[in-house]
Parts: sequence; C-alpha cells; structure tokens
Amino acid sequence: MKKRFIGALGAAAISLTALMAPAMAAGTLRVAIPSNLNTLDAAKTKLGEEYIMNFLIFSGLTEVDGKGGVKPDLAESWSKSDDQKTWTFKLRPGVKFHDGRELEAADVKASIERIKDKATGSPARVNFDIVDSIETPDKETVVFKLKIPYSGFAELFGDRQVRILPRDKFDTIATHPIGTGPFMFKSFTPGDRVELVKNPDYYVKGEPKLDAVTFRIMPESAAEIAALETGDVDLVWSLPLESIDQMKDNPDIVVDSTPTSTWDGLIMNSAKKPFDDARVRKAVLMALDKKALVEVALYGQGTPTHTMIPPSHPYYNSDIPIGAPDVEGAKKLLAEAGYPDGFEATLYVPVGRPTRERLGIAAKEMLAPVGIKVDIQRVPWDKFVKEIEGKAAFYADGFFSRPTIDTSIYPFYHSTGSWNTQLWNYKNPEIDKVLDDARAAKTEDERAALYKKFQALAEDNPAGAIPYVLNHVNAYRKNVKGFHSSPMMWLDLRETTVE
Amino acid sequence: MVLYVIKRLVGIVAILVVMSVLVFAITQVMPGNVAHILAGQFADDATIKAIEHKLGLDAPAYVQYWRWASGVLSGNLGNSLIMERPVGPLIWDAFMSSALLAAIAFVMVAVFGIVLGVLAAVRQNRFTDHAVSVFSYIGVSVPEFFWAIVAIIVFARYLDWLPSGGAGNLSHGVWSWASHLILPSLTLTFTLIAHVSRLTRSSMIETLRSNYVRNARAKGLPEGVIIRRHALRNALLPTITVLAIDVGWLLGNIVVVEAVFSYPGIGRLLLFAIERHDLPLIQAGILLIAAVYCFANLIADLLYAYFNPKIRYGHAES
Amino acid sequence: MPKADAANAEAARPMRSLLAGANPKLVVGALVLALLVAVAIAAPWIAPYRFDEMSILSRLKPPSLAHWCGTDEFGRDVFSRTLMGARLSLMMGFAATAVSLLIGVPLGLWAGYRRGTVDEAIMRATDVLLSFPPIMLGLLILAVTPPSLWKMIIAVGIVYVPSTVRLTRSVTLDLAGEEFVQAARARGERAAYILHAEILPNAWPPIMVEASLRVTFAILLGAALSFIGLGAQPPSSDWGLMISEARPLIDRAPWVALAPGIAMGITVIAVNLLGDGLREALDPRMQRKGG
Repeated sequence: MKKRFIGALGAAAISLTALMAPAMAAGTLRVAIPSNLNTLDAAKTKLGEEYIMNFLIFSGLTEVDGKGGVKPDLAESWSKSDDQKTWTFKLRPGVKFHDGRELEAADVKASIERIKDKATGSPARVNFDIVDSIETPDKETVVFKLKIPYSGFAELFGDRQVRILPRDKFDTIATHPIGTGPFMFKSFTPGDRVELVKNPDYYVKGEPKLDAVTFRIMPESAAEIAALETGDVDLVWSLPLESIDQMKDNPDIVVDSTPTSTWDGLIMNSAKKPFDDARVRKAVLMALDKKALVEVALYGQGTPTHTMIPPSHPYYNSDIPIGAPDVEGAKKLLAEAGYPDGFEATLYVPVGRPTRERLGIAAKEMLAPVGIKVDIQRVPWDKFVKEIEGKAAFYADGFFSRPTIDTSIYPFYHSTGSWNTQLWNYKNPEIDKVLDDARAAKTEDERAALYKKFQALAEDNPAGAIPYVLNHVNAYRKNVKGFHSSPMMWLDLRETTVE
Repeated sequence: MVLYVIKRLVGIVAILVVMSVLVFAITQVMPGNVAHILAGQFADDATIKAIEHKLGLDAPAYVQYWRWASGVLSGNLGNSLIMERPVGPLIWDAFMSSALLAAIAFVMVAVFGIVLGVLAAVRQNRFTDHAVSVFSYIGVSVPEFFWAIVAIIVFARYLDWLPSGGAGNLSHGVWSWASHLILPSLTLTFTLIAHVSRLTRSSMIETLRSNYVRNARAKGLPEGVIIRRHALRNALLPTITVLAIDVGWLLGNIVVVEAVFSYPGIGRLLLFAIERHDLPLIQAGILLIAAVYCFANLIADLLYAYFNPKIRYGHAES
Repeated sequence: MPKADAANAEAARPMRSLLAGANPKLVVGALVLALLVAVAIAAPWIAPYRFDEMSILSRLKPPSLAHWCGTDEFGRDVFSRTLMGARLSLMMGFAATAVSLLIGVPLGLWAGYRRGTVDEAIMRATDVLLSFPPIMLGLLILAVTPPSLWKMIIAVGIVYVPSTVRLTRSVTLDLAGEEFVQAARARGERAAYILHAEILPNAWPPIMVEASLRVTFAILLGAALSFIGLGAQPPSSDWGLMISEARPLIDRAPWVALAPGIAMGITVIAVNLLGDGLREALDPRMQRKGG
C-alpha cells in the first residue's frame, strides 16, 4: 500500500514535470539582427528588422503565406460584393490587446484611416487610396467601400504595415507598442536590443511556445557569426549571403534558405536618353548573363527570373526561357537604335547594399563587350533616395518582397503606378490594360493568364533588367526547433521552441 | 586662476552656441531632410509636405532654430524625429556606455603610452626602443576595424574567451559585464597608443638632451632621479596636449569600434541620427561630445600651466 | 644622434658627402617611400592585370604564380588592385596632410607668437572645429556634397587643421620664451622674420613627427570614412576601402584584406622613419653638436 502510494506520487511527479518540461524548455530565443530599428510604430516601418517586430507584436486582419494564399487572422471570415467593390470583414470575437482591452471594429477603422493619412507617412498608404469609406455597423464587423473593383483586397491586410493598433494608444505606439500578437513588447534599447515576452492571452491556444525573445542588434557579420558559433545567440536573421559557405560545415548549425520575391534590378529611366528607346533597354537585358549574376551578386543564393514574379510563384511564366547572353543580338539592337558604337553611361549604386553593388560591378563587365561603357558611382543611401531614384538615367535598385502580386507589380509597371514615375517612367499601354484587367479578374485562372501575359510583354519591352529574385537565409543552432524561414522574410516564432 | 577658469567656461558656452548654429546650418544644406526619410522611398510631394507640416519643418529656418534653442533653454532637448522618443535619456544612456569604454581606453593609452614612450627614449636605439616602435607601428598601421574583426575571429570565435559584441549587464555578474568591454577597449588602445608613445619618446629625447638635464647630470644626480624629477615634467607637456586631442578622437572614432562590436554607444547613435537627418538627436549628441571635449581641453590647459612654470594664465601678456 | 655614427661618417668621407649628413632612418624611410610613390605612379604599366578586370570563375583564389596576392570576390587580381590602391591612399595621406600643414602651421605660429586677441580668436575657432569628433566633422562635410577623392582630401585636411594649429602654437609658446627669440626681438627683427627664421626651424621637429603620424592618420581616417560609406568610388579602391570590403570574407579569403593591409603597414613605417629621420636632421641643436 505504502509502496503504491509512493509510486503514485512518483508518477504524479513525473507527469507534472512532463507537463512542465516543454514550457520550461521553450525558454528564451536569442536572435541577432543587423540594423537598429527606426520605429516600433507598425504603420511607419520600412526595414526588415522592423517588420519582424510587426508580426510578433501585432496582428492583421488576414495573413498571407508568401505563396499566393491568404488565411484568416484577426478577421474570422470575409465576403465581397459581386462587383468586388464592397468588402465585409467579421472579426474574431474575444481577442484582447496586450493591455487587456478587447479588440473592436473601431480599432480597425482607426488603424486604416491612420495609414491613409498622409501625415502618418505610411508606405502602405498608396495601397489604400482605393478605399472610399470604412463603416462599422457593429463591434465585430468592418465594411470597406472601394472606388474600383479590386480582387486582391483581402491580401492587403496581410501587408507589413497594415497592423491593427489600439485606437486609444496611437500616441505612444512608437515607443511602447501594444498589439494583439503572440508576443508583448518589454523593452527596446536603441543600438543594443529589443526584448519581447510571451502573450499569455494570444488568441491561438498553446501559442506561442517560447517564453521570451531577445533581439541583439549586431551590424558586423563577423560578430554575428562568432556569436552564433559560440552559442551567444541561437539564430541569425538574414545571414549575409557571402558568409553562408563558412557556416555550412558546422555540425551545430542549420542554414535555412528560402526563395523570396525580393528583387534587385538595373533601372533604366525611360524619360532619359538613351534608355527612352525600348531597343536599348532590351539590348542591356540581352547582354546580361542572369545565371552568372546570381553567382556573383548572391553567391548562388537566388534564382534567375523575368520580372519580380519569382519562379516559385504559380503565376510565373515558364514558357519564356532564361537565355544565355546574346552579345551579337544586343549589338544589332543598339545599332538599330542609332548607337552602332555603343555609348557611355553612369551607373549609380547605393552604398551599403552589397548585392546591388556587386550587381552593378558585374553588369559593368557584361555590358563592355556590347560597347556600353559603364562608369560606376557609389552614392550614400539618403542621397540615393533623394537624388538618384526616378531622376538618374541608370542605377541599381531593389525592392523587398511584397505580400500580394498586385502590390508587387502594379505600382512599378502601370503608367499611373505610384512608384513608376519615381523609378523608371515606364509607359506601356498593353501592360496597363493587362494589370487593370487582373485587378478585376473574377477567377484564379483568368488572373494567372493575365500575369503570364504581363511577363511576356515585359520581356519584349523591358522597363529595366530584373535578373533575379533573392533567397532569404537564416542560420540557427540545432537546439532551435519548429522554425521555418518565411518567404516574406519576417520571423514566425509561434511554433518555435529552444531546447 | 579662478578668473581664468570662469573666462574659459564662458568661452565653452559660446563655443557650444556657435556649434549648434553651425550644425543646424549644415543640416539645412544637407540633401534630403528627415521628412524624406520618414516618408520613405518614392513618397509623393504631398506626403512629404504633410509630414514637414506635422513636424514644423515648413517654418523658416530661424524659427525652427529658435524653437529648438528655446526648448533646450527650458531643459527640453526635444524628441527624436525618427524614433519619436525623448532625446535626453536616449543620448545620455548611449553617452554613458561610450564614456565608460573611452575612459578605459584613455587611461590605458595614457599610462601605457607614456610608460612605453619614456622607456623607448631612455633606451634610445636599443632593443626596447625598437620593440616599442614595432609595437606602435603595428597598432597604427591598419584601420581599427581590421583589428576589431581580427580580435573577434581570434578571441570570440576560435578561442571563445570573450563575447563577440554587445554591452554587458551588471545583473548578470561582474565578469559578464566586464568581459564585453575588453575587446573594444583593447582595440581602441592598440590603434591609439602610438600617437602618445611616439610623441612622449621624441619630447623625452629632446628634454634629456637639454642643458637643464645636462646640468643635473653634471651635478651627479642618478639617472632615475633625473628622469622622474626633472625630465618627465617637461617632456610630458606636448603629451598633455595630445592626450586632450585624443579624447576628441576617442569620442569620434569610437563609432567604428562600436559598430564592429555591436556596442550601443553615442558614436553609433550619432551616425544613425546623421544618416537620417534627425536634427534634435544630432544636436544633442554633437553638443554633448563637444562639451566633454571642451572640458578635457580646459583641464589639459590647466595641467599644462601647472607643469610649465613659464606660463601663468590670467596675466598672459607679461 | 650617438657619437659613434658621427665618427663612422667621418671615416667614410665619400659616403658622408653622398648622404650629406643624413641619418639611416631618413634614408631608409625616404627610399621606401620613393619606391612606393614610383610604384603608385607606374601602377597602370607594371600591374600584371587591369585592376578592374573581373572573372567570375577565378574569384577568391588564394595566392599563386598567376595571381601573386590571390583574387577578390569578383575575381580581380588583388596584387594589381593593391598597386593601384597605392595611388589613392598615398595621395589621400599626403595631400590631406599638406592641406592641414598649409593652413594650420602659419595660424599656429601666429597665435603662439602674438598671443592676446589673435591667439584667443584662433584658438576659439580651432576649439569649435576640434570639438567635433574628427570622423563626425568629416561626415558632416562630406554629407553636404557627393563624395569624391578631392572632397575627401579637403575634408580630412580640414579635420586635422585645428590639431596642427594647437601643436604648432604650443611649441611656439615654448620657443617664444627662449633666449635666441628674445635676442632677435631685442634686435628689433620683424615678427614675420622671427617666425620664419628663428621659431619655425626649431618648431619643425615636433610638427614633423606629428605630421608623419598625420599622414597615416589621414589614410586611416579615409579608411574609416570608407567603412562608413563615404570613401573612394569602386571599382577603383584605396587600401582602406579594399580592407573594408574584404571584411565579410576575412575568414575565407584573408589575402584580400592582408595585401592592402601589409601595403598600408609598409607605408606607415616608411613615413614614420622619414618623420623620425627628418626630426633628427632638422634639429638645429643636434646639427650644432654634430658640427
């Protein structure tokens, strides 16, 4: 009897520790990120490091998977009118902000109206220009009235800046963010670290599994790598591509690489000579060896492509070949355009964006045989933004993955697109029509066909040369479990544990 | 003497005022203001105007300057335009971190620099002299970021003796806190020491050759006494000036070491602010560094006067 | 200078007339530096490859007979690039130092000799400039205009003006009290004459020692500015930029950083030897003793 009692006690103890063990072991994840954060206010974020915080601290109405799909997040369900101009979202009941207040439809309305306000300066603002009005018939329903039919509206709410913030805390959101996400903000020491702790009231029961996450800001890659190898940090976010090889042989470390739709490109300004001639732009494109550029600029961590639609995307047009460079063809086109002996051009590259610097330097070599003599100018980033983009004739630029196909392409390629006139001043009526039709497309097949047509049109009459999309690479120690790199380059740590 | 110090203090305030105007003027002609940075890539003019209006950047320059200056006079350094948090605590925390690092490096540079310089001078053209020269040359011959990275690879990555970066926390124990300071402060010392040791050496050699030391020798004083009592005092005069300059150098170039060692100091914060044209942060950072440096100079001048009987401040025109 | 050297020089008369009393440090420093300058000038003709010639297949190759210092991440020949880098780095160091001496020395002499209001005005102006940390001053200057080598030289030169002024002034201050200056004053010599003929020759040694370190500091400050992103323009790189750009690969391909690093080290040592030699050669007291 006595023995049995002790046995039962022991069993209880064992089951108790078994119950507690995962929670204990989940522990704290230490992550290295390279840059300091400008702001914690989701609506104003512009950096990859800031986007990480957006998805850990806040939630959106919907969630995108980076492969073209969209899932519910704060919105449990949604519906659209037949003309695709009225969208109704039903909120998940009982979701609480980190300060304990319950989420209401009015928070959604206020958050989106704040993004629409020009003085907020949110990069997501232009996407919501199509919103005419927002109504909140009850606490759990939000109705958006659009100016135009727009099939991809639900996906917009999975975007990085489009987080739902508490409407009574806008003033302090930049320093003490409060959201509905899996982790709660604890502290931010600029230049040093960001500390987050588990949100015990997260609406998905049992998540997150970690107790806390600490982000260390480490600008020098040698320091990040040393910290990972010696166990000072558990995970390095967005490993510099040139450092990957030296980690591959380390048995304690997993290198996790995933394709994204982040792209670099040689921008050729259609408003400037000689790039006002489509034949010149095509000749530049023909002279480039895209596969070699992936090797040189990305150390192989990327994929050749036609436009920003990555080969991993269902809308990618695989009928167009990624050809070898055609020097003779390019020379012929240049001669037709009136440049039989080629021309001289200054190519501007931004300092501190190593893939674009390498792209520029490699392009200089590849363009020489066709007679294009390139002079490379390195420009500091702020000057690049103010004086080069949209103004210079020829420069290397690049853009982060965007969650929806329309916001990835329309702003750049449509002649009225918000970024077009500030990038390459590209005008092609055929592409305008295809992109407008795709917005109103009713079925997935119709949409896919239109985007494939867009890629064929862009290949014939290029706006610039987009040689590749980049991989996003994280490295972590073997004791980190349940982690997968996201194609959107943020960190999803809801399922992650540390042993 | 007291009058002189008061005069200098007034001078320092004047310098800071002139600097604040100068920095303000420079940020005005810098291409791209903070509104462009906040609006991000490809923002339209209306957005930039709206942000400029919200931040008051559309007011005339003198109004903006006065707005900032009157805030400072009433003890309010303003908010960082980028980070939207008060500048005061932000700058102060970063400054204290850097000051700790710089102070350690400064003491090491001063002590070891002078000791090595004197040793080299006394043993001129002998082995010690050459060894000190080689050591100084090696330290000064390549940029500090090179040594910083070598230090990380050797001491953090392969030997795993010291952390590769970041700031320590006293709550994790004294060693954890101190260990984070070792590599950055050694890097700073190594790249700066030649400056002091070579100047000390050359002025020590000068002094040892002076009539005054020769007279002392003629009197039959032991060499050690001559060096300590007579030569050192004179030989250190130029070194004091250079050490004061090194304070400015340390507070500036520390940015490179801070960047490599992920150390949250004022150099990196200032660089962050300059890159983003965040005026309140730039002003507060530069003025704080300048104030520290002005005081270092004042102290150097007082020490100079103390060591050099030829100069009596207060009645300089004799 | 030790007596033994003087005696040797006495014994070897032809040698002595050849070197005109110069000391070995000065000779070695000057020779190495002359060699470096010659290499820098001749770089485009003696470099085995074009400095910007890229080859994807042969990138990050270790040193070999074909590539003496290996290749960098674009397959460019590191040896050729180091030779070409000598041009930018030497020009950077010497030109910036010249700028700081040209402006700084006269101001320092004047301030230290005249004292009073002039001194006060010059010193307060240098205080303002000096109160900027060097790198921040360079950054603020460079941030206003697009980067170019000449702007960087002037920016770095200006950065070092105030410290040159201060050092010159402090030396002048000491010298102004010396007997030979007092004597010149008593003879009624003009200030310009006294500064030029009496003070400057005696002020040179510490200024030159300082300037010799300054050349290397200018090269290093240029490197630091490159590290921050305001340096020379690729693909033509100065040594500082080469080291800075090779930093992510330092573990995998150390030769890319080592070649310019060693070149920089040799330059620094040569310049310092030259500075030391100059100090000893220019020292009038020593000449008196030697003669």
